[in-house]
Formats: sequence, structure tokens, C-alpha cells
Amino acid sequence: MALNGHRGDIEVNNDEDETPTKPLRSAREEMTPDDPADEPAGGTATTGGPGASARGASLHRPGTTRSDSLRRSRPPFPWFGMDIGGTLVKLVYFEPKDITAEEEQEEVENLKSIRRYLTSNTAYGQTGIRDVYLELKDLSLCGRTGNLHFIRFPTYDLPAFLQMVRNKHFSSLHTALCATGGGAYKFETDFRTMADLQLQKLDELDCLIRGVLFTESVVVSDPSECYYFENPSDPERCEQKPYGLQDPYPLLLVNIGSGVSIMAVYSETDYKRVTGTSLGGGTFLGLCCLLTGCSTFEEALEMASEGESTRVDKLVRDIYGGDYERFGLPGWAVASSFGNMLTSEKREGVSKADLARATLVTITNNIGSITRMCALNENINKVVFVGNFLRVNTLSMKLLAYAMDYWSKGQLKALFLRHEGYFGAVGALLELLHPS
Amino acid sequence: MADNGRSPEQKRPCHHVPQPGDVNGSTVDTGCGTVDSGCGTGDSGSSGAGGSRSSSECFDEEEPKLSRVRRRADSCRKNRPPFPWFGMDIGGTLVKLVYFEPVDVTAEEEQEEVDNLKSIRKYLTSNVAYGDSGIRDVHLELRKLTICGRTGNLHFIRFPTQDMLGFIQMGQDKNFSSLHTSLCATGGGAFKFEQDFATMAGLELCKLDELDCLIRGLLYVDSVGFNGLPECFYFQNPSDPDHSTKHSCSLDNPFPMLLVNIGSGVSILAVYSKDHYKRVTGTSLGGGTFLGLCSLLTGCQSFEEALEMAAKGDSTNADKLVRDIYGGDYERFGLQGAAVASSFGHMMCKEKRESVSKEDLARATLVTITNNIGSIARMCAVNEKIERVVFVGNFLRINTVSTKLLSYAMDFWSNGQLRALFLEHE
Repeated sequence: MALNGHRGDIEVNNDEDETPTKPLRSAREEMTPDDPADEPAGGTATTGGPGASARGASLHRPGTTRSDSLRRSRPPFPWFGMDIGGTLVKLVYFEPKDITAEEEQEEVENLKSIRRYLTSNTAYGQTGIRDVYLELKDLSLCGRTGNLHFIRFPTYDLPAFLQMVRNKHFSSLHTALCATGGGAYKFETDFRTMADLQLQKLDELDCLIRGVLFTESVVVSDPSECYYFENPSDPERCEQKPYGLQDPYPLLLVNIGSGVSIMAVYSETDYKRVTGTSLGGGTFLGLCCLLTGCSTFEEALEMASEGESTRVDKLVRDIYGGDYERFGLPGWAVASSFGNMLTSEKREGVSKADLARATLVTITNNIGSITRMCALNENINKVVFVGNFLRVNTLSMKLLAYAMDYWSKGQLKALFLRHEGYFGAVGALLELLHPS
Repeated sequence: MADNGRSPEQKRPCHHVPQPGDVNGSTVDTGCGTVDSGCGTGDSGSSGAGGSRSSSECFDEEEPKLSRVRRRADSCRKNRPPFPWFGMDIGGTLVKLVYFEPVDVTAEEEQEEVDNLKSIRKYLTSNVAYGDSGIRDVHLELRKLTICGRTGNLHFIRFPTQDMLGFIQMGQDKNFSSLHTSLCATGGGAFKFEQDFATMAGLELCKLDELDCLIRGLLYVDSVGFNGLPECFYFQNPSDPDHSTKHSCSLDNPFPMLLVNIGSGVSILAVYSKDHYKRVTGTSLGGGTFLGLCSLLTGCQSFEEALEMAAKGDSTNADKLVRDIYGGDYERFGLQGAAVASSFGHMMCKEKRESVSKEDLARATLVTITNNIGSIARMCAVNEKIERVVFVGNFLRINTVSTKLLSYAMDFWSNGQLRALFLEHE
């Protein structure tokens, strides 16, 4: 009978057994960074190095030394990573598939119930959703094999979530709950008082970067995690193409959540937050709700897809009658977002869809413009956009792809990742398994 | 011997802008066309007015002032265009007109003055409002100015660009074209309305680049001062907006400076000398965005109304702050709890939408646009390694909330390294 991890370190739940060591799978092997030299990069905040375990190469490795150390440090199930953002809570859950009969027999009731609840539903309560298309199957984590699930719900419904956690006696499972995002700090007390849980709070940008690098490394098959758009401005010819991020550094990481953070990443352990902007996904949704009466992100996007922003925006050609040649501004460029809306006739002539479109275009282009300035100044030509503003939002992705390419005359490349807004949560999960 | 505004042979070809420094009346290229095109929002377009300015340029600092003034007056007199003297900037939202009213008109000159010229002068100087929407900013008048050997008052007039055709019609009615003077105009509208001026009023516009004119105008006004007072000002104690006070300063040794022009949209320029600048970038979220969004969100009808509402509102009812997400500061990256994390971020929530007021929305719009500009300006200043940031443009007209916010933002986010400066003639 194999023993659980953390023996002697923390209280062990003797009801949960571990499976005997299995040979580690190749190609899906998790990659954990080496011990960092831990030198802070110059300037603004940098991360400490994550991960004390040996780097897992993508090749099959004989199990002994590694699995021994893993077994020693493996936390008890369930394994969650949580990112409590300004608008959405992102949850990743690892569902073990290599449970032996013995383990199953000894499994505590509530643990089993949690597992069943999460994996047999794709919707939870009124607003919880499991993004099945993002599920990572047959993932090897810490010597176990299983599926990684991606779940989200509005931060607004966190109290309901806490109630559920309490009802399922999560705290009796004596597992740490690793959480990142602002909410990990804001709701720390609520977790304790309502669900008797001690959160392990982690920095959101540390987790983000860790999560991005990890996910990119383990998703090796089709579809590729990282992709870009070819011919983004041509609807007929525009296509998504895979991109290998094997040699990622340096890269500019733009996280578009409620607000925006822009990071320059030089290595796994060396990054800095370059800047941010408060005009993010929350602005898009907030303004859209006010201007059009919509109430969800999906609704806002749908309206935007049907609208025409040029009725709302004042273009260079509206002011110049054509291009502003002197400084290379084409007539179709936006000179003043919403600039036509100071005229009452024009206000009466636009539709809600036009307004939604203009809001999307304005926010997206502003982010693109700021990003481009950062890329220029940091001397980085690869930009990765993540965050749930881009979820099901092809319009913005293509706009960003086009803008980066056009205004930089082809110097900058916009890249996107399929798991968009979940990387913080993944990073939190990794911290649970491989504490730094 | 005074000009009488009549002689047809004094009509200048379009590209010649009479320059005080012109010694022999030869055309001086002001730099239009010598520029490599800057590409959009990030690339630089440098103005190549460099080598083309003559050394007898008016603002040559090395020359003793007296002889400079004398030479200037001499050359001016030789090249002086006929009255009336106008400068026009046809922007995306507003048309800005400056008019020089000579006060040293001799009896002889007055007798010979053409009727329509006299009528124009009287119309402009005896009114402060024109038609439904034209306004003369009397408080900005520059009195007893000497330009080109003439003394007079410089008047500042504005009206909405949407009333442009009405203005051109008036030019036609007053038979402006018979005065055979060139009309120098800048701004996008100089290009857009060129045809209309020609067909409706028989007028040929002398089109000039808006950024060239901006810099030239700014340096000139700062050099002549504001009726004995400084043109330039800043706010002391910017980090305490309720108690920060306005102080004047001068733009001595102004270079390098970052010039942020906030009109309908925004252009950001790095100015290295009076002849050498580049357009660093721009943003489409400018004054037009503020007014457009405000009109949609609050039903306000004018810029003044929007500002009035904004003065009474609380933007934190609409914006999601760092403390709303973190419960406090985001210490790791030095983000205070009071900083805005997501503009309008509360507005996705139905209850909050129902409880927010129009004033709150107006304030949030103002704060969002202003802070975005401040943020971009700051990034540019850091990257161009410039400490002085000058904000101009009619977005800042009567807009103390924004000027204080910009002062605060520049100071705070740069830890006191950057300074925001403003000009009275905006």
C-alpha cells in the first residue's frame, strides 16, 4: 500500500490511499522548472522562482527517484487550483483516472461526491459552467494520471460556492486550497468563517506565468495550445494557425481580465509587470450593458458582431476628408472613438449593435495600442494575449492580430492561447503540487 | 505707409506663409513635405523643418532682442500681407479662429479701408457671440500685440465644425474673396473643406499641417506672454487635488518636451527644438470620446453640461477599484486600493446599474478618458526620457477636474519625476 504524501509534514488523511507507483507517461509529462537562481530582474516586481522539483523532460523517465520524492510531497486529493478574479472565478480540478479498486474503496464519501458532482455535470447551480472543450485528458501530474477540468462562475456567486463547499464538508479533507487573484485576499476571511477553509494565497501574475508555461508545454498534440491568425483582416482568407512556443523568451504577456496587466517575461523565473490599463473586459461589458441594455458577455458579443462601429466613431477621413498622409494615418483609422455621438442626429441613427461594436473596437484597439508601445519599448516582438475578455471573442482577437501587424509593419506577432483565462488557476494548482 | 488690403499683386502663392524672419520675401519651406511619414500610433513622424528655416528667424535666441525686433519689423513691412489677418484651425469638433484686430489704424488707412473689411472688423470685435454657436473667448484676448510691425489685439473665436458650411456661406456673403488675402488654415478640415471654400466662397485655402502649427503657435504665445502674465501653469501639490494650487511658470528652455494635444482625438509629440519634433503616438480615446459617451450615457447636450454633471458625480460608483477586487491594496505591484482596476467595471451588475446616477456616469467617463491619456502620456515620457509633459487642446477648456487629474497622475505614477504643464490658450 503506497503512502500518501506529506507524511510527517502535515496531517495526513489516512482514509485516502495512494496508488502504487506507475511508470510516468511520456509526452504528457509535466514540466517543472529547475530551482531558480532567484535573482530579481531590474526594475519593477519580479517573481520568485517556482518549483523545487527536478525538471521533468518530455521523455519517459524511469520512476524511482522522482516518484519517491513526488510521493513524499504529494498533497491529498482533491486537487484544485482557484483564481478569484474581479468578474469571474476560475477553477481547475484534477480528476484522477488511475484510481485502484483499493483506493476507491477507501475513498471518503465527500471526496467521491465532489468528484462525481464535478465530472458528471457541465453546469453547476445557476451560473457555473465547465468548459468541456478545454478538458485536458490523460494528464500526468505528480505521478498520477487523470483529466484536468476547467470550470468558471461569476465572482458574484462566490457566497453560493462557499455554501456548497461547506455543505460538502470540504474542510474535513484537510487539503490546502490554493487560490490566486484579488479574491483570494478579499474573501480569505469568508472562506474561513463560511467554509472553515484556510486559503493559500498566491500572487496572480506568478500563477499566470507559471500556468501559461506549463499548459503550453503539456499540450503537444492537436489542437495546439498556442495559435495566431493569418490574414486577420481578410474574412475570406483569415485562418487560425498553430504556433510553437518552444523558445518563448522574451515575450510580452497581456492579461485581459476585468482590467489589464502587461508583463515582460524574460525567463520562467524572471518577469516584470510593465504596466496596465483599467480599460479592460470589465469596461467593455459594463459600458455595453449601459449602452445597449444587454446583461451578459455573450449577449454583448453577439450584438457587437452585428454592428457597425464606423457609424459611432469619428474616423480620420471624417475629419480630413481622406488620409492624414503626413503621419501615415489612413482615412479608415479611428480618430475619435464615439466621436460621432456628440451629434444628436447621429445618436438617433445608430443601433444598439453599432454601439456594442464600437465599445468592443474601442477597448480592443486601446489595449492593442498600449501593448504595441510596450513591445516597442521593451524590444519584444512576440505578444501573447490571454484572459477571459478573449473567450469566444474572435472579433477582438482578429482586431488585435491585425492591429499588431499593421501598426508595427509586420514586426510584431500577436499570439493566443486556447485556455485563455484559466492560467492563473492552473498556476495555483501547480503551487499546490510543487510548492515554491 | 499702411497696408490697405486692396492690392491684388500682394496675393501670395499658397505655400508661402509670411514669416517675420523673411529678409527678402523668398518662400521659406515650413517643413511640409520634408517629413518622413510616421506610421500611425507608434512610429515617429519627424517634422523636417530643420534646415529650411532662415537664420534670421524671429526666435533666434542668440541675437540681442532690440536688433532682432528691428529686423523683424523691417522684413515684415516688406512682406506684410493685406488685412484681414486670420488663422484658422478646423478640427474634428471645433473650428478655432484667431483674428488680429489692428488698433494702430491711421485716419488715412481708415478712409481707404474697403467696406467689407471694415464690416468684418466691426462684426467680430463688437460681438462676443456669433450666430447660434460662435463664441469669442474674451478672457483670452491678447491686447496690444505687435505682429509684423502692426499693433493690435488678437481675438480667439470658436464654433462647432458642424456649422462650417454656415461660416463659409457668411464668408461668401461678406465678399471675403474680394479682399484677396490668403486664408491660412490647418486641421483636418482645411483638407476636408478645401473644395467648399473654393466653390462656395471663391476662397483658396493655404493648407498647413496641424502639428507644425500647434508647436509654432505654442512657442509664440508663450514668448509674447498673456497680457504681461505667464501663459504656462501647473498645479502645486498635485497629489492633493482638493488643495492643489495653480502656479504660473514659463516655458524657458522648453526642450525637450512631450506635447499632448487632446482634441477630438489625441496626438502625442516629442519636441526637441522648435524645428524638430516627432509624433510619438496617439489615441482615439480623446475629447470626442468623452463627449460622445457622456451624451449617450446621460443625455447631456453640450460639453459644458457634461462637465457640470461630472463635477457632481462619484466615479467609484461605476468603476471597479483595486480594493473591490483585492479587499485592499495590491501591494505586490504597488497598486493602491483606490486605484481603478476596471473602468465601468461595476456596470455589468444590474443592481449597481440601477443605483448609479447620471452624474456618476459622467464623472466615470471623464476619469476614464483622462486617466487613459495620462497613462499613455506617462509611458511616452518615460520612453522618450522627457520630464516635462505639456497638455493642450480643448478637452481641457474649463475642465479643472481633468487638469488636476492629469497633474496628479503624472506626479504619482512617476514618483514625482514627471511634471504636467498647461497653457491658458489651450
